[in-house]
Amino acid sequence: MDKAQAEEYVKGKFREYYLKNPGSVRPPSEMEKREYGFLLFVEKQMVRHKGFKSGGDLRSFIEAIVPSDVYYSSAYYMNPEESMDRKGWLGADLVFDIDADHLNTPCKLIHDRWTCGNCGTTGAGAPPERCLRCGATNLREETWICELCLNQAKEETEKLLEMLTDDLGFSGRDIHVYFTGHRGYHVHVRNERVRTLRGEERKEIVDYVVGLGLNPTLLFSESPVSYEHWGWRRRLERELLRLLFYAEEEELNRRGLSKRKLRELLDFRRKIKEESVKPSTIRLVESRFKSILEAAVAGCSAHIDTVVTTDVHRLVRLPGTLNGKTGLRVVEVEEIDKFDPLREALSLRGGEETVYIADSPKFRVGDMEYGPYKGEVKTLPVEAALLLICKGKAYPTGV
Amino acid sequence: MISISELAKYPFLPEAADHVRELGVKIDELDSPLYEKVLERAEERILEALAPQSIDEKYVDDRVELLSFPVALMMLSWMRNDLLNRRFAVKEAKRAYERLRLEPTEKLKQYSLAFEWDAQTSNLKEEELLLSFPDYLKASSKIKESHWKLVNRPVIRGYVYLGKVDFARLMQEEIASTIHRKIAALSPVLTKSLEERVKELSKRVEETLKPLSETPAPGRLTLSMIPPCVKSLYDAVTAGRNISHIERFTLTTFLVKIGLKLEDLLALFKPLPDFDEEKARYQIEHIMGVRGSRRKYAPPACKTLKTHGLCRNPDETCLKITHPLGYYRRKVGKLRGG
Repeated sequence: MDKAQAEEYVKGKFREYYLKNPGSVRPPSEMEKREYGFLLFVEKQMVRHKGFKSGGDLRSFIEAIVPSDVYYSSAYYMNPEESMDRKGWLGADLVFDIDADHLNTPCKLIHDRWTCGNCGTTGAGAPPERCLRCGATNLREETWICELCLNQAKEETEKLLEMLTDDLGFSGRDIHVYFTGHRGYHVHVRNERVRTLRGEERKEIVDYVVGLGLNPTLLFSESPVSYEHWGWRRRLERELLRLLFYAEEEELNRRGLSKRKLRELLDFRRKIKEESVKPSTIRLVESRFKSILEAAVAGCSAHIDTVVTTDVHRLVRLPGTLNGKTGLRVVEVEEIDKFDPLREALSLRGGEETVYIADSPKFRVGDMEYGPYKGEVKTLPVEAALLLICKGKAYPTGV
Repeated sequence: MISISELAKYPFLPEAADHVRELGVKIDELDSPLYEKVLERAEERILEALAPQSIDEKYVDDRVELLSFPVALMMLSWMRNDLLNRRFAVKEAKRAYERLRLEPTEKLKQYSLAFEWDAQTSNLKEEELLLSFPDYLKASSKIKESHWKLVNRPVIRGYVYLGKVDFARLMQEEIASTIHRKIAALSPVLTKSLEERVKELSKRVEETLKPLSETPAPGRLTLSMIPPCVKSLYDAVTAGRNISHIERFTLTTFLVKIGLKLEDLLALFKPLPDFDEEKARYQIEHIMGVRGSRRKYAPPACKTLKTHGLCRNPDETCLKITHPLGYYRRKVGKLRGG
């Protein structure tokens, strides 16, 4: 069976999902002001600049063409179907994307690979900027959704949510969290006051969330305001004191502290133990333990994909539709700490499929663990088989 | 309630416009000797926008001060000189700032309603105001200094906590853009004699502006070799747009490094609204290392520029460099290498 047939199989399964679950596709708020985009199975072609007036129209369209991925604009337009410069931008939701692709998880070395499209060189982990052998930039990526990566993405999302509520003051009503159906989460903020912020203003929010341009001296200078403990100051103080006085040697090592610096720090710990971060603490840390300061900022910041937030014309995944990379659903997450993507985002359940699996790491779907597999034929529940096929790790044998 | 003398001090407030409307002054009445002082003051305000020195406090009386503002806007709108409009807006905004910073917080909050800001006074600290963070972002987006970055500000439950002076500084930004917008929105029809008068004023304006527009360009060739970040600053300055301290530093250090002379740089900065030749000369000489510490300064590296939001429109070449001067060297190298 070739790639086209595997694709046909996936498309069939997607069609089945959309027909069996007509209520699952959830049109966005003010749906008639949004642009819609569809990635087709055929040659991965993108159909954009579509507009719909009702949920029914949108669903019928999806059922008719069965796309591999469905998107809508975070932006609101006067004329969503016009070309970009004639759409009439009215504003956009504030959107954040947390994706394991952008996180530095150690397990990537085990489950991710890249292959150079030019010379065929392969390597483990996330792809470098250019091929290590020939310098070409067309590198193919093979990724896997593993629980470690998903958990890391969840942690980053939780940090972001704290900043959005405690610092930026958004309420639960404004904030919507979605699992993307692949390796991460989208956070949408729908609020009148941020709707009309332009790209450069959103960039300031990005810098806030990731701690870019943060100046510790300013942060810990004589507090100009009535509150001593606010946002970044409170966050950074906690993390800095932890690293300076309580973190174990192993962690400090991992965070890039040299042997010499580590000795210096332990020596420092014997002499002093501070309860709070003062301007003098910052001066000391900046001159002697810069890497600890950097680690503290990195530890407090939420690692988001920065370009998504600043792009005020971005297309984002539509809740209730399927992700072509996995066959998993894009779902709204109510309580993120309890959310299990590999259970709650499953699309089709019941039935089995016999597949040839070229190569797959160990993985879990629902309550079951599978793999690792290498070059074998297996009969698996549909949800597991679909994931492998979508990820290009297996194809149905047609038995 | 806002008193007449307050409106005279802050004539950009919507209440000031309302008041002027209630007075029912018609454009064709402005020729009358009754309004001579108003016209004079309006002209003075416009010419003042071109003067490099700080704002003078010529204040005739509330009525003249209040009426001369919309009259000046009308004249500016008729002259259609955007560089002048921009400088006028900045100058008037600065004038307002100097007054606002001395007002009680309650007043600042009241005036800021003109921009539909969501602002509150603090009940804990007298000199403190709270501004909703989206309003803060919109107002501060053009100020690039590090202490204006949101991440370096106390942000609590959606509000940025600000000292009074900083709050007034943000109002200044908003006032400048409000005034600039207002001028653009007008399309006055003047009486014959008023038209003559504005034409005369226009001539004087052009005479003052002329030496400014004769900016020594670094040459077209050189322009194509400077990185997009520096180019955007160069374009801003030549268009007479105000740029921040770090932006000036970046532009100046870069141009000094590629060989521009003191006089060239002075001429380049001349169109800026707050240009002060003596101050500029002193600062440029510092950067050149002929003054003070004798240290020659280099432009910031790409990383630093990114942090300050100055990395703009990066292109192909930018991917290969870590310092703006690297960009220039590459381009020059390419030129020489053929």
